[in-house]
Amino acid sequence: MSSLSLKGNQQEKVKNLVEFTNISETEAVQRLRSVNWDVNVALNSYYESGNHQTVPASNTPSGCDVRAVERLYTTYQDPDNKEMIMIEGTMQLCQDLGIEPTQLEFLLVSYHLGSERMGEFGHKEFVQGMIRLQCDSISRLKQALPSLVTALNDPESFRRVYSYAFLLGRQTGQKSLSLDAAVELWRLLLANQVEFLENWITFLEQKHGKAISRDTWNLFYDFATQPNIDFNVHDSEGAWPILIDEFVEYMKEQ
Amino acid sequence: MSFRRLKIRPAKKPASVDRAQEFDEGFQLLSQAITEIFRKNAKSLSYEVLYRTTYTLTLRQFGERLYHGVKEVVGEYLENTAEEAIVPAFVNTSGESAGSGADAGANFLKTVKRVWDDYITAMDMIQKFLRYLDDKLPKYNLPHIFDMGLALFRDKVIRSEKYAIQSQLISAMLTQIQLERHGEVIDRTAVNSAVTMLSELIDPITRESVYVVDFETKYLETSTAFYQVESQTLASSYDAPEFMRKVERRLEEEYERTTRCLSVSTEPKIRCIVETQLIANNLKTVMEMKHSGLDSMLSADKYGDLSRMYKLFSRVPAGLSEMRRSIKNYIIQLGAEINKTINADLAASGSRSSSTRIIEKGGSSSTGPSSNSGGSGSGAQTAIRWVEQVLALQEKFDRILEFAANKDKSFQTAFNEAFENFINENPKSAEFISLFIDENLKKGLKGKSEDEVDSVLDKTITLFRFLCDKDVFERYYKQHLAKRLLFNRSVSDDAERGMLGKLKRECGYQFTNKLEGMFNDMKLSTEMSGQFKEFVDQTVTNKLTMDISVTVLTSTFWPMNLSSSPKCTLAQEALQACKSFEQFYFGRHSGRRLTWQPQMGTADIRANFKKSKHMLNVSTYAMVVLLLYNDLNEGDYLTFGDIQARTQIPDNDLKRTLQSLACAKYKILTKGTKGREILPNEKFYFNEDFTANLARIKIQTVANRVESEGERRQTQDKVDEERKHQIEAAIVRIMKDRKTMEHNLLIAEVTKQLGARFMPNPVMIKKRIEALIDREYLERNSDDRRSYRYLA
Repeated sequence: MSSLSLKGNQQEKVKNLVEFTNISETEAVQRLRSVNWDVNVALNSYYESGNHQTVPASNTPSGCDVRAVERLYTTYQDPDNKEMIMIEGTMQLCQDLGIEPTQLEFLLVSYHLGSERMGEFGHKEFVQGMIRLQCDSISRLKQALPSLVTALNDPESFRRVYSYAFLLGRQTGQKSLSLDAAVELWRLLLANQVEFLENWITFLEQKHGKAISRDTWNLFYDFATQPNIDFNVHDSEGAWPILIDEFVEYMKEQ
Repeated sequence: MSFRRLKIRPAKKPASVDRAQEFDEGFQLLSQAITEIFRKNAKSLSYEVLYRTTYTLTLRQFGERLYHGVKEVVGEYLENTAEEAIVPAFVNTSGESAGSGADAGANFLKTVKRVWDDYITAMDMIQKFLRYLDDKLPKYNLPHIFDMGLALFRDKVIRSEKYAIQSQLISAMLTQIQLERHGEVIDRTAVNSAVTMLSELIDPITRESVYVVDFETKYLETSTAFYQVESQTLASSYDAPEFMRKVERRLEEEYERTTRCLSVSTEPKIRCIVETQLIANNLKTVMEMKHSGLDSMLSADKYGDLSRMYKLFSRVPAGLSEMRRSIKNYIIQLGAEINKTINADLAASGSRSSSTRIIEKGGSSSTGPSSNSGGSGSGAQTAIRWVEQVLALQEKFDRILEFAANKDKSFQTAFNEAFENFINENPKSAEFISLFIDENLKKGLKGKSEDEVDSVLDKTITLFRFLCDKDVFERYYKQHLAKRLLFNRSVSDDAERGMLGKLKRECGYQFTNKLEGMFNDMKLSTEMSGQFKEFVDQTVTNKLTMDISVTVLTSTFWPMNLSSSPKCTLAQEALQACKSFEQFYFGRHSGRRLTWQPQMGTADIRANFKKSKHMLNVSTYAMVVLLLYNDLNEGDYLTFGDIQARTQIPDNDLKRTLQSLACAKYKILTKGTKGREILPNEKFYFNEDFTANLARIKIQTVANRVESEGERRQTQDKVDEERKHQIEAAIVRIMKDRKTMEHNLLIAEVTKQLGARFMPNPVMIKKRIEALIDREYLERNSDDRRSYRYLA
């Protein structure tokens, strides 16, 4: 590999670039060579060249400054663990963005900045996310928020966020999502789309009362967004999760 | 005679006569001849002359004229005959009584027959001397003389426009048949000849015989009407067997009448009418007749009647399926009754017995065998009665199948379905069947040879076949087998293995795998006890005060619960014996764990009473209890609480043990109060005055009983738990093989694979699929949520 012939700090730079952009090592070396080993310039040129997945966020096509993103990260990072933004930092971030952690916007920020646990952001994911969103300051991120929300109109993007919400909502070490968290997230995500959402929630609280499995979470979206849904023609022999079958029965009784 | 002269004349001057005259002369000769023939004066005619005349006229191109002339002459004759011979014989429908009407009808038919016979004979002769013309007729596109004669007879006589001969004739025929149906004797030849006559005549439009067109239709109509009435009369005035006999009679009669007296072609039609009216329309009525219908026949095993019903019903399309369904319902009903009475019996006797029963390892001290006492719980007897009744029911219907239903496969299937239905209705079937087998494999059965037992067990296997939940049966069978083996109650190893073989044939190796393991454990333990004796003899320091024989059971084979191994404080001697065995065992097998199961053991103890000494064979628990009394003075007592505190035996087990010692046939202990109830502060005394004729006494506590509701729920829970694993294992097995599979196909495949053991319902399978998705054995296909992928 070409990296073998690189100097120590060059290898470091290649690694950084690969981490941020997910391009191959060879490509990273080429890009860095062409910009005289300046990682920031290489990053900017990468994101501007547009061969990455464009998140419909930034209305500022001009590049964002990776150093500014790094600086921004340090204002929120956890004093004890420099690689993470913990809950205090997150609260601060929300405050700066003028949003509540219970808002849809926060879920979207978490999604785009690769948060793996509620209220926590990793260093790498935060920086990568900000660069992908083309935001290097709080004000630019704030500006980007409405467009993140409108992006949900695309069903595919919505589904990705929906599936992500399950992962984010879980308690540490849990496989399934607690009912309370699930209900909250459903209301956040589906309140406008699913007219029987409240029946579903009532049903779950009355008859189920237990955590929601990932399968049920994902399939409920499929179930609820079927066109012209009719409970009377539901196929209980179909492959829907049992909870959904039971819900249909419940609705028929109502 | 005049025509002799005529015969010569045409030969004399053939050329001189002009053509018209020639025809007139010739025709006159022929028409006179025809008239003579009809007058039966044929003897006086010369065939040769007539033939030659015909020949000449035909040659002279008078063929057509001659034909029409003949037709006219014959027609005239027929009209006259109709008027003179037939009309006077008409049946006068008004005034006269039915009897003479019948005779008149017969006479009328005879008259018609006579006219017909004469006419046919005459036409045959006429045809003969007109032979030359007849041969040429096809050239003129005209029918043959004889056929023309038949057509004339049809039009001028039978379907005469002037006289109502047709209706007279047909109603006369119908009346005759009707009379016969009502049991009167009639002249069949009259009817038969009328039929023959009508069959010879062809209807010009349909090309069918007049019999079919004019008579048969009417006949079938009147028959339908007759049998409609007949059906109601029979159904309302006879019971089912008699009704069926009458129907059978009717069918035979109609068959006989139709083939003898009418036309064979009518037979299927009339049969269909009788079958429809008498059988098809009465299926339900007959089967549901009070006190004589199908149910009564079945209950009284009326093979003759049932067989008749089978035969009759098989004639109509829905018949057998209706009969099948009714018998099936009847079986289900009988089965439900058996279930009901047995369960009521159980509920009545069940109040006496309630406790948990788990079969465990046994340590037992021994000195010798003993006598018998007590018996199995009444619950077990009830279970056995259930099986016996079901078997009797099965035998009954086997016989019905053989003697009455012609061993019809579809009946067999229906019967089987019925049995399956009610056997699975009873949640206790699996347990009952296992108890029944237990009873038959237990030692000490009186009056049954090995072969008899074997055949009973073979029959039991057929009941086993009906069980949907074979896994539940397996669980009970294991429990019962464990007791037979541990308490040494089996008739013989051969019998046990024979039964095992039967089960294996039904359900395969997997089913009996663990059961066979149990036998193996028994064998190994016997071998080991010899080695243990040697071991004890060698270790002089550890000389035991009692003998001990231990059966070591592999925990996965035996139906026991290691986690809830009951506590029991053994006496010092016994503890020491256990210790030395452990020492021996662990010395040979390192890394194994032994859990003692005191409630499965038995002990022989020597008891000294005031008057006699006895050898008591008791359960390990009873031994523990009795040993307590060694430390007491005469006349002292222990309360229930004391005993429990000092032995730690679980409440229910202790109660049962004390009942067996104080309330059964042999009262080793005496109780403070009367009755079987044991109060918490009950006092128990040692019965110093105990006497018995036998030196060795067996005191039984553990009898196989029917489970109480609580136990049943526990068993069901265990079964359900086991099923979860089996379903999951099946899903994983299938998915591992197929990698990706559609939901419904997967459900079907799992059901198929597990069907031999139990019927998993789709919801149960679905739950397991979801659990496996959760545990990431499976995932849904990303583009089709209805199919799954196996995750390696």
